Amino acid sequence: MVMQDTADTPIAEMAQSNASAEAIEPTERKMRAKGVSVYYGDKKAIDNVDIDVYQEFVTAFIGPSGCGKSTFLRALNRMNDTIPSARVTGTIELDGDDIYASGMDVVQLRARVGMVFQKPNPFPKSIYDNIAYGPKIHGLAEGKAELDAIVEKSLRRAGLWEEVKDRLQDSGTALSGGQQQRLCIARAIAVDPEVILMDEPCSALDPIATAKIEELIDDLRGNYAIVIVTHSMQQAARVSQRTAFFHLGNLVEYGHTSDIFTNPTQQRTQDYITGRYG
Amino acid sequence: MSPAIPLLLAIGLGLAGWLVARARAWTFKRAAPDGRIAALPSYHAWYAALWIVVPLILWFLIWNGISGQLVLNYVLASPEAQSLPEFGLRRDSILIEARNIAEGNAGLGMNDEAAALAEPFREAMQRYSLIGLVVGLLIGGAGAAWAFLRLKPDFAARTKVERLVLAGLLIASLVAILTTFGILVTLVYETILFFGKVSPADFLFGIQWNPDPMSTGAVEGDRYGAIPLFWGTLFIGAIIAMIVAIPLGMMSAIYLTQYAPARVRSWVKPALEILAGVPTVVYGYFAALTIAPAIRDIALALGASNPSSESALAAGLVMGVMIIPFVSSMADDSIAAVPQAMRDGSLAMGATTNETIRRVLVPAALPGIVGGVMLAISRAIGETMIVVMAASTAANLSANPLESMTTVTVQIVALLTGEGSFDHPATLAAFALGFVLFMVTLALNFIALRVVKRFREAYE
Amino acid sequence: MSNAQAPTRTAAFEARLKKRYAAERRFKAIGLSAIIFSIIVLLFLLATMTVNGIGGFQRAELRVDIDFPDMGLSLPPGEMEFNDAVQRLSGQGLREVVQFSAEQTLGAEGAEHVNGEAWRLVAEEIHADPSILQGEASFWLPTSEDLASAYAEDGQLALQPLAQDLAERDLLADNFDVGFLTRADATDPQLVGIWGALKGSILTMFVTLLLAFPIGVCAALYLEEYAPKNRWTDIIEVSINNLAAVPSIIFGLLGMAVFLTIFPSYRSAPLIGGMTLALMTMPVIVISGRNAIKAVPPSIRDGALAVGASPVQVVFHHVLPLALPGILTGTIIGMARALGETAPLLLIGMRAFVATPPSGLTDNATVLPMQIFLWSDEIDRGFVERTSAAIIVLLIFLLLMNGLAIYLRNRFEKKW
Ligand SMILES: Nc1ncnc2c1ncn2[C@@H]1O[C@H](COP(=O)(O)OP(=O)(O)OP(=O)(O)O)[C@@H](O)[C@H]1O
Ligand SMILES: [Mg+2]
Repeated sequence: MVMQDTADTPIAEMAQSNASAEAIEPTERKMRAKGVSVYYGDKKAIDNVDIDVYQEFVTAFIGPSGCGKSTFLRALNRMNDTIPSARVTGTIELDGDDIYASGMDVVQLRARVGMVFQKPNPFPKSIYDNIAYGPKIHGLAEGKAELDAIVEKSLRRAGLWEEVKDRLQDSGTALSGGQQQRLCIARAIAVDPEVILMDEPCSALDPIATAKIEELIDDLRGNYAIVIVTHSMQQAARVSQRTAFFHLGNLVEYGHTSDIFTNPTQQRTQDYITGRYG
Repeated sequence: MSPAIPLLLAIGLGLAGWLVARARAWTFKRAAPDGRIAALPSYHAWYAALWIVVPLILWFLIWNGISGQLVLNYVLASPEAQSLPEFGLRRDSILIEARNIAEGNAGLGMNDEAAALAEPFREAMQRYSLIGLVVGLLIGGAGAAWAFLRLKPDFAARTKVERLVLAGLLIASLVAILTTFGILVTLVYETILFFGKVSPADFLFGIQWNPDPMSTGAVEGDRYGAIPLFWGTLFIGAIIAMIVAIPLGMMSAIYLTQYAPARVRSWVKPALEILAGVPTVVYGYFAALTIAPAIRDIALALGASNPSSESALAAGLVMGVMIIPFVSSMADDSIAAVPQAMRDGSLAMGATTNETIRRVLVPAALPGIVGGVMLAISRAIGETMIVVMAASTAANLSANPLESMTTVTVQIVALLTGEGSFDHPATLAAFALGFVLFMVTLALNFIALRVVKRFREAYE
Repeated sequence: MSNAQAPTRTAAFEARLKKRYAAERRFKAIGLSAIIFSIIVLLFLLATMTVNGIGGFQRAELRVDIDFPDMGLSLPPGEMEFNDAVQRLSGQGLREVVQFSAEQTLGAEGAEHVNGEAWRLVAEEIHADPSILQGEASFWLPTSEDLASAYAEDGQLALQPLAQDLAERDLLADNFDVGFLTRADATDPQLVGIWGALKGSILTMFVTLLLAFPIGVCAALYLEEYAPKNRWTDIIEVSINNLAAVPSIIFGLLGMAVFLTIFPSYRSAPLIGGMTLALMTMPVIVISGRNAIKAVPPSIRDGALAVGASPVQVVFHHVLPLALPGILTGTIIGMARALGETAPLLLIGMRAFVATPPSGLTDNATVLPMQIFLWSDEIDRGFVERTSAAIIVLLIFLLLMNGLAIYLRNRFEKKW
């Protein structure tokens, strides 16, 4: 998938040209949300949402601003726990285990379900330490050599190794925006998660950096279940196999990306992807 | 002359000028063909009032400065003054007493000479205050005349008044520079005098501190070795106090910002502010009355031989407690300045809260925290009352916290509240110590403020 | 990648997790104990002061019954100056009357321990109400220092039986001492009061406020609204920031070297004290004033400028009134700090023994914290309680001021 080709193609075609993965049926259901609602205090931000997330698939969440995409995404690795007023009802399962059950450990859950944020947020440490942070706190590496290996592997997978291998001790904040975002992705995969959640990972980046990240997402897909929130329908069409359209806290439509973009069943979806609001 | 008289005079004349000028402006306004003049009548009024009041007050300030000397000259020229001692403390105290008697502040005093001198004092003061008043009236009148000559329908009174207001504001902001400058000049001047008698090397590197304010004759430089004071100051303020304040303040801030529920925070923060608002004399009393004896008893019980009841430990501990809220609020601010994204990033990787705090938040907030600690140290080493009340005046060079130690501020107070005359090296030494203290705290504050500012900007 | 081997799902990971949670609990406990420690220190401090201080508001007093008609005392009817009355009564032998009556009521041994100045209290009451001379009256009069400490079971072992005996007969008791709030310093802890120091504090604060507030506000206005961005402005800023952090004792050195040289006869006067503290308070007011002025949104200035107001009018008609609550909050906080300040005043001589409350800005005076410092140096046991009582008074004032500042902040805090 090359940017130049798709830049002026209609979204529907783009979605179909991405049909390669489309034909393959999902191998394994990784996460499943059933009847999930999220509240901020008394305000309902997500209303009764059901979604399945599949292994080796990219699932895209689209919808107008404020419809609750981030809120739902953050429910998937319990980042909402950090907001005192937030409350989640319904069940969300990871490999069949309810992640909000009392037996589920948040720390372990978040290690298994990694997250990349809208704005790159490297820690004010060296590039090396940024990547090594996760393995260190989780005790995943024994000895310096193993840690070095993890750092190199993660940076390679994130496509950043060649650019930074000579300056691993430089501060992570000294990188360019796109590099920082790839650093954050590398940081997330360094702990070997099973699911990666990405909240508008490209919104702060220019087109070239965006293309790199998209390529990266496509590469990573083979090993992880990926969920990506995006404002760009082109992006959703390009990288995802499944798409969910949210509106005002409701899940309006969820299905094959090509279906959503070529023949949506709902009028609201149709209106949104043709740009009538949003 | 009591300061009330010129003040009342200035206010009275100013008010009169204000009213007259306003009335005059109103007549302009009524006479004007379209009922408009260049500035509102009230600006005319203020213009006149300022021209009267400002020169008057300036004059009285100047006169107050010089009339004292004139009165003194008059008194010294009087026949009663011939029997005064030539110079020295006694002469000064007689003169001060005579002035007090003449002003009615004191009844008949201890010195007969003073009583005799009171009469010339009274005469001189009456005479010069009369002169001052008359000249003041003339000046006020001249100001009024000048202002009134310029009042015209097309006179831009507002611009003039505003220009003066701006000048006033500028002058007010210069007071800060003047103060800093005053401090520097005073300290440098006295320090130079001091170094004329004791060599800087003896002062800065000597290890014997044993000044004698009553000594006469040759100055022994080896009495003024300030190393024990510097050490005591650092030991109490920068070591013991910080050992208490840094961990407690940091942990309090961390707990309050990261763990405590909002309700707890809303109670504990004001409580810490109260702790910060308690005057240091109260802490000093607490240290001297409760903590110091307790420490000595505990040390005795633990078998220490001869622990001091004015131990460095007592002063340092209490000072540390005093600084806790300060460190805590600096750390609180610094941690709060770290973007939420850092915290989220770490938590999203499965870090526990304390891992996030220790490995991400605190390192990210470190410059701010270091700056805060530097400010705290500068506060601790400049703190006076706690050490005056709880530490000793004996200069000991020791690393045993149970021993008594003295600090720079204790010695400044001791030297300046003693009996030494103004140009005795013991008195001057206090200013030299003050100079060192000023420079050190200045450097600490300056660097700390820069570090903190840089840090804040980095996350903006 | 098969999930079964995912490093985050191994038993080892879960074992480490247990340890990490233990560390988490420890860390949290440490944080909590730091807070609790600070709070306990605060409570301990307040408790010590209160427990001691309550005693300071009381004093041991002996009951003396005086049968006036027998004594031949008289005061002419009509208004009379207090001092004249005292003189007259003393001439008529009031002192001896009190002494005699004390012996009657308390016995010779007890009468010895009526405070030497007690008869003045009797004179005061007669002056207030001469009609008591017509009958019998009983007075509670301060004891001597020795008996007071014996009564407090604190030294003076020899006198303790006497104290016990008198107390059992209801002739000796600790009474609330209103006079503590109206008298000035004295050498006898039974007779001291804090009004002198309090008044000194009030006068000193008056001078401080009068100087620091206008100068501080004007400087803040200039720096925030008019100052060009140049080196001079930078220097002013730097010096204000540094003055706010300079140790207070340095201001004492400045006051001593400058103010006392200019006004040598006003040593220990509130005027000089106030001037010195004003230099210290001014930067605080400037800094908080600038923040308050900065918080006034530019739209208000633009609006006023747009209707043709001059820059000075904009500031004095619009910006200053809006910023005033914030400025006042900062001022009160600065004043509270000045009120508790001792060190600089120590150097400019406000540590004098002042037995009569100052009546003007140039009288000899001392201030509350200084009084605390001076009393804390006294060896007499009686002064310990008095010191704590004075501390309570000081803390109440500071609490009131800070409370007012917090109230102002909350009441007028505007979100633009
Ligand atoms: N911490 C919070 N407290 C209260 N309400 C919140 C909070 N975070 C989000 N909301 C509200 O929840 C709703 C959904 O917000 P969310 O951030 O999930 O939207 P979004 O779809 O991600 O929007 P965007 O595309 O702009 O990122 C919004 O109405 C928002 O105002
Ligand atoms: Mg969002």
